[in-house]
Amino acid sequence: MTAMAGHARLETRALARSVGAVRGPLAVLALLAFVLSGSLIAGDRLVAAHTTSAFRAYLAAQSAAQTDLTATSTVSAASAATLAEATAQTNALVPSGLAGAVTPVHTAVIAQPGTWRKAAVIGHRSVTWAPQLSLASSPQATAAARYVQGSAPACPAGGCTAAGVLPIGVSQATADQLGLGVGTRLVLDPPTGGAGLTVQVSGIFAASGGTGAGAGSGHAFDDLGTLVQPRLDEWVPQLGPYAGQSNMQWEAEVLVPPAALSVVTTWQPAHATWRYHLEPDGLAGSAAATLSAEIKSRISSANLLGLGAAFSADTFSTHLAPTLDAFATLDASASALAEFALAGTAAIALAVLFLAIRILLGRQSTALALLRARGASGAVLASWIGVQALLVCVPATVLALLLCRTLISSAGHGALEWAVAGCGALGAPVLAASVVARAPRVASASRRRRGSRWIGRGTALLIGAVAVVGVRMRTGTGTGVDPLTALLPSVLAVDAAVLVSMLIPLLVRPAARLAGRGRGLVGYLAAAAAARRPTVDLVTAGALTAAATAAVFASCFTATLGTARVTESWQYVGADLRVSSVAGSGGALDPDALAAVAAAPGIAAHAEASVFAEQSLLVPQGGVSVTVYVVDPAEYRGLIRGTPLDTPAVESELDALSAAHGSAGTVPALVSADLLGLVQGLPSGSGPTIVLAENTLDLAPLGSAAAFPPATGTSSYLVVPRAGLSQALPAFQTGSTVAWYTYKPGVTAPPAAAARVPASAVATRAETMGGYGNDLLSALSAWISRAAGVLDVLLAAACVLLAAAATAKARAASSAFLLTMGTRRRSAAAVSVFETVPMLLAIGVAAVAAGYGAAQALLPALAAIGGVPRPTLATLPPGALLAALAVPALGVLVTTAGAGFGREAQLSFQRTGG
Amino acid sequence: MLSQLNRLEAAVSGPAEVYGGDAHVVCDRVVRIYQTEDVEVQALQGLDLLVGRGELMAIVGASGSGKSTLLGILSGLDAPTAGRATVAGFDLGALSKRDRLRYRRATVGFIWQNTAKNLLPFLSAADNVALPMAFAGGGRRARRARALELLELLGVADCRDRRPTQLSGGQQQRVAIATALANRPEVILADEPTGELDSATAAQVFEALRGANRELGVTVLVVTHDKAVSEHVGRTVEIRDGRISTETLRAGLDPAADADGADASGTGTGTGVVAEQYAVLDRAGRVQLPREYTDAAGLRDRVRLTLDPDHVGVWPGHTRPPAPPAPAPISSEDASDD
Ligand SMILES: Nc1ncnc2c1ncn2[C@@H]1O[C@H](COP(=O)(O)OP(=O)(O)OP(=O)(O)O)[C@@H](O)[C@H]1O
Ligand SMILES: [Mg+2]
Repeated sequence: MTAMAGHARLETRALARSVGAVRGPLAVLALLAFVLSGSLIAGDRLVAAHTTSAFRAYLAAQSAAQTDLTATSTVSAASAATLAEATAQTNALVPSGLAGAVTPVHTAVIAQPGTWRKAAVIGHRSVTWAPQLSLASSPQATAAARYVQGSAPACPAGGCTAAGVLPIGVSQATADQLGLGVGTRLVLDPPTGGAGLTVQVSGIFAASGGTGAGAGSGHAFDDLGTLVQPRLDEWVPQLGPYAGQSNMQWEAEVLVPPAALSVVTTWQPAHATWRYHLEPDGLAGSAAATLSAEIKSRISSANLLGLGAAFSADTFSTHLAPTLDAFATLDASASALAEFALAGTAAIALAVLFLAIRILLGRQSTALALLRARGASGAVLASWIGVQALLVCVPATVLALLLCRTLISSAGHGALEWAVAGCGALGAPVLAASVVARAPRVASASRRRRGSRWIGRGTALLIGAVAVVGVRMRTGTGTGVDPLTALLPSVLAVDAAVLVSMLIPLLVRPAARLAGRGRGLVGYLAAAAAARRPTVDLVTAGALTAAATAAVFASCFTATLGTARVTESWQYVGADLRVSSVAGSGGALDPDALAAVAAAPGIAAHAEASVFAEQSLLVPQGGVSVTVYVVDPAEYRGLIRGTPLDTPAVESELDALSAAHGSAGTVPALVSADLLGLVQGLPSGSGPTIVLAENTLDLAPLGSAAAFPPATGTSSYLVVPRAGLSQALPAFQTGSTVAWYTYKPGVTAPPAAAARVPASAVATRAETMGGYGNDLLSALSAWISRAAGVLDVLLAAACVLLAAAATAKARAASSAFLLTMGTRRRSAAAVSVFETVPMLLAIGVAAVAAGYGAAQALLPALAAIGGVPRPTLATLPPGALLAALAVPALGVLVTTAGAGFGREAQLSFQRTGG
Repeated sequence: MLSQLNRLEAAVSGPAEVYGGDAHVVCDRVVRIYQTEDVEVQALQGLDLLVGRGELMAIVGASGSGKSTLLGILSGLDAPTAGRATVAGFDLGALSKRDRLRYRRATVGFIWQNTAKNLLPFLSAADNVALPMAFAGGGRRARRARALELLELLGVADCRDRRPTQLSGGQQQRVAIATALANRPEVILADEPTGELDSATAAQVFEALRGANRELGVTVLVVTHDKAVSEHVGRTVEIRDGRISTETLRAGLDPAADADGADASGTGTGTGVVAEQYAVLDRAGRVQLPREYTDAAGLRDRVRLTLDPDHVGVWPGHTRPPAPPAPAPISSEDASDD
């Protein structure tokens, strides 16, 4: 009675023993921690790896000009120190993130070649046949050159001077052409007059550049265009070949030692290039956006600062930043799609976690009650359960982390990885401990509790409603997925679970009453069992609902995107196949060739149109440039019948158009929405006129704004019926410039005749269907959503198994009870299955509603993602309905199997004492 | 009017007389109502009970009469819906979270009927006994020593390193008693501790409780169906319909029997020498008449009461009382509820 609260603590030995008593649930928890953190970390790393390889492939596919960072400048009289400083300055252009991935190539070539002061090889009156040599310096080229004779040019011990002899290296080809050998000494005169420079060949090299002898040397000669292949000029065109030789002017670049550059630039200004050639092998895909921003800021500040007094016309430029931006945009879209795909997965993961904790606590309920009665405080119990869970979750998470880190070398998002590991290690323990810490309410507060249950339900539903409204309100703002958006499926899953808990009694009570009236014992028992609480307790039903909701959401999401892609491909092509006249050729398509295509066996329907771009629509206010489509409305309507392009609005328009007649000089037309205001309500006599291929016609606009499918994306357009046009302008004959074809069912490839239409371009729907219009985005997001799908299936299976385990005992006990009363085994099994039917129905309905609702609510957010089709309505595929029932049904079957009708059940019955 | 005011004033200023005074366990019109989805069960309907310090008392009653409910409230695991329950100065209806912990740890020990519910299956007997001491704080060695001492006291010292599953039912219950005694509680509550045991073992277990009561001075309340137990305690109360209906005192068995101060108007049961059964008159003036009596005298619905100088007579409503000068006869409804 002396030592009181405050000293209360946990017996470590008791704790250790207790772990042994619940090793089953703890093993499940450990497995869960391992799978959850492992899959998330591995997923992140794999996605990062995939993104990185896509990134590298994307950059490697760009030309060097698109990815290089360059600085160019004109240098004159620069000292070695100034040059070194300039190089250091340009080196600073390269962001630290690119440090390992760029190869610097510094080249300086004198602005105008010097002329070799030498008697003409063949003296002919006034012709001086003198080669011109450009002195060039490049440390990288010097290093990459392989000397076949002599050695690389190097300044003598005292350094190179303008007065001394400057050593040069010449390429093999240059040496052959100009008859140079090691030791040849020549004098170069500057083009502008002034002192000549004496140079001496110190080595002859084979340029291994270009053909790529080794890494790094590949681009060493990029800025030395004439070095490898001396340029040939017809020096004196009328001279003609001499002695079998062309009359040639040689121009070549020769290498001077980099140390001699200051001497050279003092002699003559040089064009300097600092090129940083990107080798994407060292880059991580996740860094694209930051790299781009950094490069942009460095380039702009470098352009502001310049290189210094010795340099003029400094230019720092790169196409790398826009290239990186393009990739980052695609990557953001892909990961936004991935987050959508993973949003439902979070719901299942939570459900699974709740179930595992519930089982862990359920197994220890007696022990916990005893401990509580013996005076264990909430804190002691919480730490008891928390430590139990920690003991397994921490090692499991650490193991998962280590495995991921060793097996998948690519680095993921570091912070995310640690966050996941932290959640994996601590999430379940904290959750379990906080459940236990809450002491059961002692006072007779059941009335209050019922009240708070309603408050809880109401709050959950309210949060769901607010979340949906919140997500819908943000139409068009933001480009990616924010937490609210990603959480929506989970929130709605919780709401669905709440609804299930309210629906089940509504469903079950009348059923129980009905079954009680009938004779069937099985029906009666099943209904009574269903009405009983344990099978339909909130946690189990909630977990199954969450899993089913996530499954429905995932399939709705995929189906919605798929359907949207199909619709988009229809809008883009206009049919299964489109043959259009090549822009520029101007003329109409060959009617015979088009007829041949239409007659091909695989073609179901066809329609042709003449499209006139940039025609003038004249209204009193002025003229507007419009595109005019001349079609046969009935024919076009036949083409699109039954396709996604076929909407009631389009149909009624086309019907109105084919019913309208033209008269001499007046043509009926549908006008696009933006033109409607211009052409309507004009006083008679000053109505709109259209100048169509230099014929002026009065326009009789039909009432409503047009939504002509082939014109999707075109702003101002008119649709004119072919018949009406010929009535208005009998003399005007026009061929078709575009033709659409739909395939018969089962046909996938265009007929061979389509390729034989002269001067035409062929587009098929099949080829635009492949992805989101961008291969990279398709590849990225397809990969990610596959990974999410695998995770969904894995977790849903875990959820089903855990739900089965959680309810198995109650069901086994009740069915064992039936068996001991002499019920036939089959009847007992039937009762066990039937008793779950109301729960299944309720879960199915709630999951379909919540999953579809989430998909529908997320459409605006989806549309905000770049490069993704914009569906207006979510699609509920039959697979979703199947998933909504399959998840809980599987749970029931497993439970029934787990209830083990027979010895096992009887044993457990005896053990639990009935 | 004025006198009424005066009386009210007196009631406010004067020292209010608290029911039960300094009794160790006080139940003052304790009501416990269970509320489930659609039914309300009144398990206790204004129960009054006083138990003196160091008393050993048995509680009997038909199944469903509310015995376990009463013990649940007294153990601090449950709380009364209305009324006041006080144990060793703790008002159980208004315990703070902290006080509830203190109460469970050090003031009360509990033993359930189901042997499996009393001990943690994964701990040895000694560890089980030591566990509550760990909650209350205290050195490991002291705990161990006290655990062994208690096991010794209860005659199960040789079982100290065995797990509960390796013990017989009687041994388990005795270890459970040791566990309940671990923190030197003032009150031990036992809900049918011998329910699962044969009579010989039950006697052993009961003897252990009696020993604890005698040697440690602990107040013990035992719920039992076992005649052998109830006949060996000085005071047995019977609960009927959520109230104490009768009380049996056994002279010579328990001298503390009168410490409760209940107004006991006795009628000899005629069963024998030692035991005397009393009906209990509660503070609202209600008495539960034993069924045999009401049946035998044909008492139903309405009865007539007569006040004689030394007793009150109860007559069937349809007969005239024989006594010549009855002061105004009082009609009384059968006080089953209000
Ligand atoms: N948790 C509960 N919810 C609803 N009613 C309850 C609950 N616990 C007990 N009751 C009801 O309260 C009444 C008293 O129950 P209690 O367990 O106290 O009886 P008891 O005297 O211990 O019976 P037994 O001798 O059978 O153990 C009974 O009618 C019982 O049905
Ligand atoms: Mg009981």
